[in-house]
Amino acid sequence: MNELELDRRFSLNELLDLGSSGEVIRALAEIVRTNLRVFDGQGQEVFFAGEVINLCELIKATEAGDRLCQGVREKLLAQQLTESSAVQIQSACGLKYTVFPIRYQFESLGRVVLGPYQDQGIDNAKLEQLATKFRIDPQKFIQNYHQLPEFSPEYLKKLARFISKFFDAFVFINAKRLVTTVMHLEQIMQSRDRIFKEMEKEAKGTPEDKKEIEKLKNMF
Amino acid sequence: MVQMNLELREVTVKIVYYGPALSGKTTNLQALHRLFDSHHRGKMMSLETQLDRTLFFDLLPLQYQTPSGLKVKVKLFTVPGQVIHNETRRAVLAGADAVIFVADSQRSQALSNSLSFKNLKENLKSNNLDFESIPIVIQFNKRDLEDIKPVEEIKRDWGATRFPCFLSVAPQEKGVYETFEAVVKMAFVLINQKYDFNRKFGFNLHDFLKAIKSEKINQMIDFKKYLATTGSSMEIIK
Repeated sequence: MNELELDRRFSLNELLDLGSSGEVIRALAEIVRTNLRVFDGQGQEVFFAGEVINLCELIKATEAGDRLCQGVREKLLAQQLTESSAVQIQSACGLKYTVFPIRYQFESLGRVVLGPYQDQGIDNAKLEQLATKFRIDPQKFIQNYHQLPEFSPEYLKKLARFISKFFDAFVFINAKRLVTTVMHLEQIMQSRDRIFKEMEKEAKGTPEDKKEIEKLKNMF
Repeated sequence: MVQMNLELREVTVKIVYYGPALSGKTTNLQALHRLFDSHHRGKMMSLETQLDRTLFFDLLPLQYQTPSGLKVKVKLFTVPGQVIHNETRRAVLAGADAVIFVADSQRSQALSNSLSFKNLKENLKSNNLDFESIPIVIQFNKRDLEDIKPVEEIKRDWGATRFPCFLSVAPQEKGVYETFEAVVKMAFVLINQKYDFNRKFGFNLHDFLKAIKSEKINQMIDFKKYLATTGSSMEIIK
């Protein structure tokens, strides 16, 4: 039995069975009306639930928009996360995101990003300023901005905690199943080796057996 | 053997709970899981049990970060006690830094305890671990049952050996933490002797133990009550 299998390091892809967990996450994203993205430890997006955000499309189409969106993405992926704490990140266009880690036994496997959603502290005057900065029609900007969900900090904290606990449980259960399966396979391999050894031993057999085998060998 | 990953700035210490079937190894880990501070303990992983029998192993990880940023991980494993699972026992024991031997105090279990202790010796040897020097603490569990080996006998039979012996009632969390603390102290003293660990990494055993203890442990801890004999590690345990 391989001792390393007893407590190996897992990657998120090994533990996140998106076939079964994906539907639940998607349904959850629909209920809370916000986009949800899952990134692995290398910063690769492994799951997305949500829809195209009109405001983001507008901003991306501007001269500086694409670069700014990329900057937010990099910030979301580089943000230092400790334990299961959720961190809010503000983008240059006034939108907010919440990011928190997916962990397995103290190890960070990846992160979840919720958003974008509205920043409650921004009024229409400030939104007009932002629209002017991005050279977007202020009315269109404000209208699209208000289409995004609005969360109170308290609600967001609870939501992040719930989703974090969900991933936590899912990842732990899958890790447990994976280790169990590996251990079972190891056991089967050992039994097989043992049977082979016994067969080999039997095959050598007594001198009489050997004589008979030699005789049979000549017959084939 | 302590695992040091200097790139990740982490050190992993492995402690194995060994002993005959149904002596209370898993119950020890379950009790510790309840007792440790929730910020420093991970989830307890119990792998497939049939009628309360461990088939593979249990694992309870602890983590502590020194002020210098070094992550110190202590991983507590149990082995399956049943005789037929020797391959798993040997694999779990590989690389152990210390062992807690959980014995069943009932007189009727003396033979099972002896066979398991002998098996521990053999499996340490097959893993190239030195039985004479690896920290081992013996825990006489199930002190609440009848017809058990009396404390006087434990002192008489084990007092002259190098092994500290503790008394416990694992489901009631009695003596469980004390046993753990003793073996951790012995393990870290040895690691420090070998690697000058405390000076190099700014590790302080007292701070580590203080961090992982919950308020509940502080209220119930009683070394005097549960320590039967210190063996040759009196200074370390005190």
